[in-house]
Amino acid sequence: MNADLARELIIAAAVLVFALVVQFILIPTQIEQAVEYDLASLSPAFFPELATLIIGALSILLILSHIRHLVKATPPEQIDEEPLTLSEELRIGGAMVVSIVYYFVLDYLGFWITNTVGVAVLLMIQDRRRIWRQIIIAAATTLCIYLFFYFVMKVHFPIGKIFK
Amino acid sequence: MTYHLKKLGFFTLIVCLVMGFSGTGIAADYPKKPVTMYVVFSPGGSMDSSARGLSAGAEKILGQPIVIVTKDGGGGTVGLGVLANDTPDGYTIAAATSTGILRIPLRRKVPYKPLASFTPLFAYAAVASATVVNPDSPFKTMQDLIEYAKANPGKIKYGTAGAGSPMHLVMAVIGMKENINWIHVPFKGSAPAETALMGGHVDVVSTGDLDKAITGQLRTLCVHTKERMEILPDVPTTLELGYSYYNDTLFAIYGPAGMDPQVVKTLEDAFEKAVDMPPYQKVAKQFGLVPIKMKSAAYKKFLEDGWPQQVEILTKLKLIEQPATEPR
Amino acid sequence: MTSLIDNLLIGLNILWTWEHLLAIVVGSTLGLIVGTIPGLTATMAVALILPLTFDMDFVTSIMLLVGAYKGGIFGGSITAILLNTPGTPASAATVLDGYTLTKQGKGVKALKMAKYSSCLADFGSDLVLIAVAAPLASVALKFGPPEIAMLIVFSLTIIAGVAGKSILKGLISGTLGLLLATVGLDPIMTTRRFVFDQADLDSGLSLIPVLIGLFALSEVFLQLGRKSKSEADHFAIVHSKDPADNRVSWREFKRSLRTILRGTAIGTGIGIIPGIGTGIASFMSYGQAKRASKYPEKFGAGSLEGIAASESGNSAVVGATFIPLLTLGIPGDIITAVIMGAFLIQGFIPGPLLFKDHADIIYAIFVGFIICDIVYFLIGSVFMKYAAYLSRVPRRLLFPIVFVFCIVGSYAIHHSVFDVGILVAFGIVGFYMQKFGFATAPLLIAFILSPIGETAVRQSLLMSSGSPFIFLKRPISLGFFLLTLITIAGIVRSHFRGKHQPLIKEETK
Repeated sequence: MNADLARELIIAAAVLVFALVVQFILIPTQIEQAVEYDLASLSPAFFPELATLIIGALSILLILSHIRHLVKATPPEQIDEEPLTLSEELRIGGAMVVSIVYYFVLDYLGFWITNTVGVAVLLMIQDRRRIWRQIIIAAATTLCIYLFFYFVMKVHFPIGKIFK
Repeated sequence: MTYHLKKLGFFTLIVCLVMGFSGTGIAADYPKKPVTMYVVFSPGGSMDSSARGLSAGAEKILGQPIVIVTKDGGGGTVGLGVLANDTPDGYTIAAATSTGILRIPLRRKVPYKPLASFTPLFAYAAVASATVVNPDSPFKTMQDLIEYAKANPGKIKYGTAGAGSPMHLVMAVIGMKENINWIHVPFKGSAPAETALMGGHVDVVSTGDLDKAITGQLRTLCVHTKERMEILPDVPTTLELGYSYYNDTLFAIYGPAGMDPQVVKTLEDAFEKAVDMPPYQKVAKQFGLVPIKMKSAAYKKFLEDGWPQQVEILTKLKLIEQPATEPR
Repeated sequence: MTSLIDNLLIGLNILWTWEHLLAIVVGSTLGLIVGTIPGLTATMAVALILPLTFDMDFVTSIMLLVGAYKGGIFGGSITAILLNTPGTPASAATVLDGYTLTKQGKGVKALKMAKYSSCLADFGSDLVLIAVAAPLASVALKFGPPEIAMLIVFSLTIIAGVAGKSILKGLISGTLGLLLATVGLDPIMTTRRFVFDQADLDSGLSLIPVLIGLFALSEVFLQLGRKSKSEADHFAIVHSKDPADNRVSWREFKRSLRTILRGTAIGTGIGIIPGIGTGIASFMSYGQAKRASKYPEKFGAGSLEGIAASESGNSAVVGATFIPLLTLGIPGDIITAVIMGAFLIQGFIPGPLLFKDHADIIYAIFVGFIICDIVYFLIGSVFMKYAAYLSRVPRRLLFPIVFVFCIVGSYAIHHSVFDVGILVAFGIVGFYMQKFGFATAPLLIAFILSPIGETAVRQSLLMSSGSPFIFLKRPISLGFFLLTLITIAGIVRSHFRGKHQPLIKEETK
């Protein structure tokens, strides 16, 4: 069994686990049932349960189809057109971390700081030279966007809790 | 080259920080700068349009512009949630319905304390709702409808803007009193419900949008207001017909809790005058809003008295077992 | 017929003032700008212009708003094609082929095809609006909950067409969209589902952050990670030197003509039915075009027909949404609902009385629609010339800026930082989904359609007191039900027959 096929099986299994978790853990806890109310339509849990049922069934079919490939020794379909190198994956991961942090600090530090720092870091991820130039670009971008949105679109960005 | 860039960089950074800090300010006399008003429903509807009309008048009196910011979502609860956390300096207020305080928090948990997180400033309109049918419907009066429904259980389908809405509650209360078995079909808002009515998919609708009722495109069987409406003088109210429920939803302006009494007075006076000014009057006529003028203290009392009343109605209709949010 | 022309001439007379024409130009331009910025939608453009119109003359304000609407929908296509970022949900189907074409250096060609399809379809639906508004509106009224439910079920079959290489994974993706759409308040009982005690989730996951996250932000992540492999790779948008890649030849256009007509019909049909909207029209047109096409395997790999299909679908909706609005007073979608507010504020109540009392103004507006189409064609062409300059911007600069727009766009809708969180979450989810072979378009389609569908199904069951036969007893819903069965049968059959059909990749690379 080659690496690709193994990866596919793991993915399919993960989907199945997801479906089971939602069905047996999330649905019972997170769906409020209405207090007695005259009801001819389906309960609120109906469609979510239908969805998890379908996902579960599909993931089982997926697993079966991969097993069929295993038995027949035919390769599964190619997924990545150009597989990413490790350093590229790391950069992508870095960008993701930047966005996660961005979200969490936006309310506290406000738009100005968060956006300038965020854009600067993203620029730096790609090109580690010329740091000052990138900070200026980041600050300038932030300024332009702020002005456009504040005056033209009348959208106010978060000021930042630490400034209040 | 880099030296100049560095200087430019420092300069830009300082500009950024200064502008970031400009959010704070201490008001000596009020208002010294523009006031932000959140509107908790989306543009084009009656709440948004009436809030804008009211603000257009009020800003002339206050001498500072009122900047409208749409913060909709959650039936109005998202915007109120944000307001609850804002500084009570009088520069951030919100236009919202009374249902954000008196109804929704009973049915689900909201991010604020309905009776404690806000300073009620001014209530400016009573929302009118009505029970309507198609012009070619066999029901000419409310009594016709009720008799038919009693004689044919399970046949009449009525549409509303949503379960638990005042429009739904009216029909539910009537149903309970007259012992009727009629079927509630909820829609996402009054407009889709009226569309379904016009297509013949439901028999009657309890609606919050009165524009078609006013023009006669739909026939009005009864109105849910406290008194008869000027624009529909021949239509009886639910109270007249003997039902103890009427739609007492109000549009009002709120501020965060703990506002300076002087500021409160300035605002409520401004809004009171704005109700009589042309921009608001135009909107009110279009949407069929019933004008009221309830200043801060009176409105606060309205809300506090209303809370136990709503608890009672909703528990009687078995929509809740107990309030989902603590009032204070 | 002559009275129609007479009315139109009267309308033209009323419309032909500097003020009105300026309103059309300004509205279209603003709409184009806002629509082009990734993250900002046509709805936003219209909602922001609305308050400015309160003091204006009625026709001027309507022209401003309609110009913004049409411009906004078209503007969204520009970023969809060039940056894989749908500017509005309406352009979500355009990314499927548009961005692929851009990567192949044929971005300008794609833009031009989009322009032609959009304008033609818009024009077409405007003609329908003018000519047959009233009778069509009464047909639209016949669409009650059961009909809408079956229409949605039928629309869901499009998912099979955009599922990509693995149809099983595509279906999983779609069902996941269904599940995610249930987050929030239950539409019938208003009880909470999957809200995890976060008040922000009461209204569910907002569509825009989900859309931008899945399509745009995931692409931004990918691009930020990629190291430039060659000089040409430095630039995000490849500008081809071959002139054939920068225009649409008459032959290419002729081949797509039928698709455009079909898309116009589909878009018009969907626009008339209140509550459905542009995004669905574009996907449905795309799905139908793929099924009817001689080269279905090209769809998704850079098919001009695909662009023609989705663009004509979403543009045709615009004119059609005014049919129920003007004749019955029922807005066809959200943006029309906002515009209806403008009507009411000015004192004009949309509905049958409006035609009786103010026919001249209505016809002025109709003429305005047509002029709008011409105007935004011209402005759009100018726009596209400048948009092509984006290809000069190096990738490492462009994508961080797109990143900012994604964030800002998601925040701006509800002034909500939480929406930014949704954006980031779906950006990450979208990236890994694509990495592991799960197409993201099915998720989006299901996410848009399910709320409408679930509500409609449950309302129908309430109407029938629990009997599922209501869907079969009514002619229109029965029709869509059978259509769905036939389509599924067709999909299953072609799947098992042409299972090993190789993807034909374009030779140019």
